[in-house]
Amino acid sequence: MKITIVLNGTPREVYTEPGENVQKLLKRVGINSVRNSDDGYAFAGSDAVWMDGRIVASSLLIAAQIDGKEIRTVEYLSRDGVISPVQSAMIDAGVVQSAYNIPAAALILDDLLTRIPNPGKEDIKDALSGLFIRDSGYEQFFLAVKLAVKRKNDPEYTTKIAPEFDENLRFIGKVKRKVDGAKLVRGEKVFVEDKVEPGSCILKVLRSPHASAYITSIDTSAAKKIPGVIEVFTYKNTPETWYTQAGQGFPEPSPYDRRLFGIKMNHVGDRVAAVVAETETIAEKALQAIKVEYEVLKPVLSIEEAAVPGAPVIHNSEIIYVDGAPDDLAEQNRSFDPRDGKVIYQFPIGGDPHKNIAASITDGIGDVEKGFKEADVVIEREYEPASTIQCTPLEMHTVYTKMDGERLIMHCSTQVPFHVRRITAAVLGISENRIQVIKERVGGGYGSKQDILLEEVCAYATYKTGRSIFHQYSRKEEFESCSTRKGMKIRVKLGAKKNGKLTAVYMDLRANEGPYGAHALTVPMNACSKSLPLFLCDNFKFDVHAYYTNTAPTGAYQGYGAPKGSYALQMAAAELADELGMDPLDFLELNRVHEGSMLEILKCLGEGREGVAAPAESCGLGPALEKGSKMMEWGKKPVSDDPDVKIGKGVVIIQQGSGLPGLDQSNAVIKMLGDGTFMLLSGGADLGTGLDTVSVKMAAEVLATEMSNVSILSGDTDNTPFDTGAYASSGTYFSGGASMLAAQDLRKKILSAASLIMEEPAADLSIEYPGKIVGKKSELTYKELAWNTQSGEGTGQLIGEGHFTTDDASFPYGAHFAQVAVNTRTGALKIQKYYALMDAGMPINPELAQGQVFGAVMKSIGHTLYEGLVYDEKGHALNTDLRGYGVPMIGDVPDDFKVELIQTDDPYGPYGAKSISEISVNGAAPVIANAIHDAVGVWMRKWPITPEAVLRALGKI
Amino acid sequence: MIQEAVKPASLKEAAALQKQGMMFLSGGTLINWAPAQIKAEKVILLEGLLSTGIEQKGDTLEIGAGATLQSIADSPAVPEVLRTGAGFIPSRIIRSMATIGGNIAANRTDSYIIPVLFALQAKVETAGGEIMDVYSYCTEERSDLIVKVLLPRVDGSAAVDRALRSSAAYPSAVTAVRVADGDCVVALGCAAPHAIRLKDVEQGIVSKSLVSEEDIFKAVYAAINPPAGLKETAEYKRYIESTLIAHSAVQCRKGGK
Repeated sequence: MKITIVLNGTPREVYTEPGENVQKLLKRVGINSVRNSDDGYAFAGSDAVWMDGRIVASSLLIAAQIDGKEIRTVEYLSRDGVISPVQSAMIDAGVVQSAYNIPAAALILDDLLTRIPNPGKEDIKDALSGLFIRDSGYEQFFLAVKLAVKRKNDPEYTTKIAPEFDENLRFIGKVKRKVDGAKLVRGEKVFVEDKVEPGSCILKVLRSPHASAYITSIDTSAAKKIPGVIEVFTYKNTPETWYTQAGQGFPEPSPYDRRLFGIKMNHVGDRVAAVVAETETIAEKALQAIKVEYEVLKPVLSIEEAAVPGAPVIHNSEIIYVDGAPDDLAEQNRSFDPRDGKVIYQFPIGGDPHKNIAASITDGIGDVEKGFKEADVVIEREYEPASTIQCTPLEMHTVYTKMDGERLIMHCSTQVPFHVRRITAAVLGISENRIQVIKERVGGGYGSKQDILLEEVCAYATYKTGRSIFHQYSRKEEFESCSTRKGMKIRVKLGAKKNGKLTAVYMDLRANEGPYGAHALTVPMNACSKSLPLFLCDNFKFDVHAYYTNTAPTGAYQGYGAPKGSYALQMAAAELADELGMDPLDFLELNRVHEGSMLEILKCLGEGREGVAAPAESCGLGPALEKGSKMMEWGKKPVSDDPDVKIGKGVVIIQQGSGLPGLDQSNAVIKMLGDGTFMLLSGGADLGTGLDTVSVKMAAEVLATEMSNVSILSGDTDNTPFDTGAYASSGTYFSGGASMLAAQDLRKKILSAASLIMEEPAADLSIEYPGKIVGKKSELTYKELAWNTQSGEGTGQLIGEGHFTTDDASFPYGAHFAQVAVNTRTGALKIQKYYALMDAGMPINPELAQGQVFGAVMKSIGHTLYEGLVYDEKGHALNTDLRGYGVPMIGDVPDDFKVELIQTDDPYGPYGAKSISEISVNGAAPVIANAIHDAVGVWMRKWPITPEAVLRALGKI
Repeated sequence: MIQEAVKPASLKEAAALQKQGMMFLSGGTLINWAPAQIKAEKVILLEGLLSTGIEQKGDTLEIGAGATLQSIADSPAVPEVLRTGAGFIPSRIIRSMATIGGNIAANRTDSYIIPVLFALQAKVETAGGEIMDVYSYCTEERSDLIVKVLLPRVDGSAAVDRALRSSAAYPSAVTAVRVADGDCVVALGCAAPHAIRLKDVEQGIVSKSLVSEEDIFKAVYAAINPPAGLKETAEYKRYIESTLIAHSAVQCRKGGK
């Protein structure tokens, strides 16, 4: 049928089927910004469009419904080539981060301001009620709207957006527009899906319906006969190469325990086969034509089931060690099943796969038994942050692969482009020089895009067929076949003297590793390494075991294991303080780390290498606690007007790291161009957090030039130098550090080259803003220098290189305070106040740093109170959609939500910067639980803390 | 996938097409909603055919079946309790598309407005000219095309409430209560396949044999046996439905809501 619409102001005739989904239709006719985050559930809002005066979900419309309608998308807002006041306000307020559905947000806010020229907070919440934002939280939207209201009349209007730091610096610590903000908010073609060329094939995966099963037969012949099917891949025609999907530096501390397609299925959603076809419809038809028979096994669905003697063995595989094989390896391998394949450890990590143990470690300092004997009070508690938590990026996992002659080109949405290249090369059995990985803009990662979950399958398919292939997870696949945060059960034992001084700390942690061993050692260990060093004590011990199970795959998630370790330890600290009759704030003050404290426990927390004790060179916990306690009016107990409602307060301290000293590496190159501007090539992978902006700021600051004179290309394995990737809070510290070093290297070369031209000693020259070299006798602009160096008689293009590695650790710290209201009649919980006071050293991008904290806290609130997969007894996840799973929306934002940046001067990070992105997911769970105890006297030791759980704790049901 | 979409010229034609096996498509928030998994091949487009107006006519407020839930939430003419119920739908985007007629016809147990319409003793007028209680329409699982929702003037105070884990979660409980002298309606969703009324409890409140919150709680608790939800136990649902109703009933009796 033919329909007529007015699309962004222009009448259009569109030929379509009556039932064509309008989101897909708009994409087909060239509208890029209307995106799919949830496959027709219309919950996330990425598909929102304006239609005849109201915002609607395009995925809930069919073509026949829009005949005769006027439709506007975000392209309408910047139709004159200039971003609108709403769009500029959104960038400046810091809400434009990974930005997959930010175009929809811009459209919604524009509509809001049309309806209500000066909206209040509730109006804004109502307008955005159908939009899921995972990265920046929601709080800064209120500021964005305030800015936009003013800019409607005065486009240049601005106000104090965020605190700024160090008046001696021009860009560092200042609010500056995110370098990729405009193209993101305009909805330009920046994501992997936008790179797909016409005629490309689609890859779809047939997934296991069983949590544990062997494939006894598989017949793809009927599928292959379907016209339009290019190829079908199974274990029969793919390499038996074992690898880990964990995007970690080589050699990885994760077992190589999977291949492209296995004979044994280890979770519901495991890969059975992949179809490459000319269209999505044909691919889906082919999936249905594949005949598979299974020998179904009893699944292992919990830590307890995995640990019990005689439990079904998930990887009854041949165990291989590349280095450091145990003496009893032959005994361990006496009865493996070849169908289970192999588990290859690069080096020992305490694994015992035939007992379902993927990894384990026991270590500590001092003598905890002695410490407990010396204690006046000892408590022992078990905590269960056991729920399966999912990263839920708005942009589902996706990849586009194609051949360029003999080379494989991979357009990826990844945090680790260089690890993608290395692992893909290994799986395909080709050398790395034959692969180019291009990291496109990433529509949300949060750790799940640290792992190589689908890239290698698509790459293999392209490599074998020669076809360009697009592959994207469905939202269901995101839940079943992605990487979730590892569920944990943590027993904490604390001993203290009567005065509250800790004498011993013991943590026994068991993790649900899921079916494969990605991050099996490092995530659980991180629960210890990012929580224990907050306290000063002579005696620490920890036991960690990661158990294979048949639940959803696990991996990295923002904070790694720290949110769960923090929850357990900070709650135990509060419980101990309660036992001692101490104010929890006093207990924290008495036992916490201080600036200069020697952290002896780091000796045993080396993250895969030998650790060393190190001092906390910078620590802002003191001012954070002091300021936070004043903001929270600590010590005052509010009383509700409603007799059913009780109010309580909590406080916790948190920490993280800044990359992995001794393990991570970042590199950058900066070139002076012909007109004296610069091209910065960074290996770093900006996930939307603002890393590219950090890097540009570093270069502009060092070179005393405008940020607009520095362009950046990042995360392209052909065109940028190596970087381990964006994980472990390494972006600003490592990748930003490399950019700073590259600029410093170029600065030296500029002075050296200028010295020859200006005929003055380099020591007499200085670089001054805006981009010139000033000597005692003369001046030389960058443009003049570039012309000289790049001419036929020049000394060559000036190029600086930066290589950042370090053995020095910089720890970001934070103090989180919460005030909650608990309805004792209904169990409902309201977070009235949440104050996050964060020491990130020097905040390079203050507004984006605040956004990272708001977003992390909102994630953590979701994890603590709402989220979690529900499984049936056979291991099927039952709530594989965003709403059923329970992500937080703007209606869940605390009434009073503040982020305070506490500046400290760290000696190691670039310009004194430490990390900011991950740490703030560590606070909400313990601080909310502690505030609940303060309100109603019950300790909530299990996630999620639901109204039902509160009522049960209160004895109401 | 929908293969054919017909725009009928009249309600009569629409009703005739329905008899041929075609499905009504109003806002699209159900038929086009992926999890509903409705396999419709031929649909009848209702937009333009149904009134979207909200108009007081004598003692009756007439709401066109095509009125969106957002327009109901926004309309000062609509009783506050219904505006609140419509506003409970967590997404403005969805409220701006979903229609009141479609919401009633969908007859979902977690509807935020059906229990309210029960409490307000609302009626529907069908394309065939029949007028019946919303309660009857829903409990008899009718599928006639609704053209109007009629709200008679009713006495007393009414309240709608819900229990849910987060602001946009699927609800665990939806309750609506209206209490007047000699009259009471207690309605709830999420406790049975469709919204229900608790007539024994209503009678107890009218007769004042149930007065205290505790007594009403016990009576409701005894009257219902909701199934477990995906994320909550049956025990919790029973408790929370009873709690919300008891609290609302006492508040309504005080004229507090």
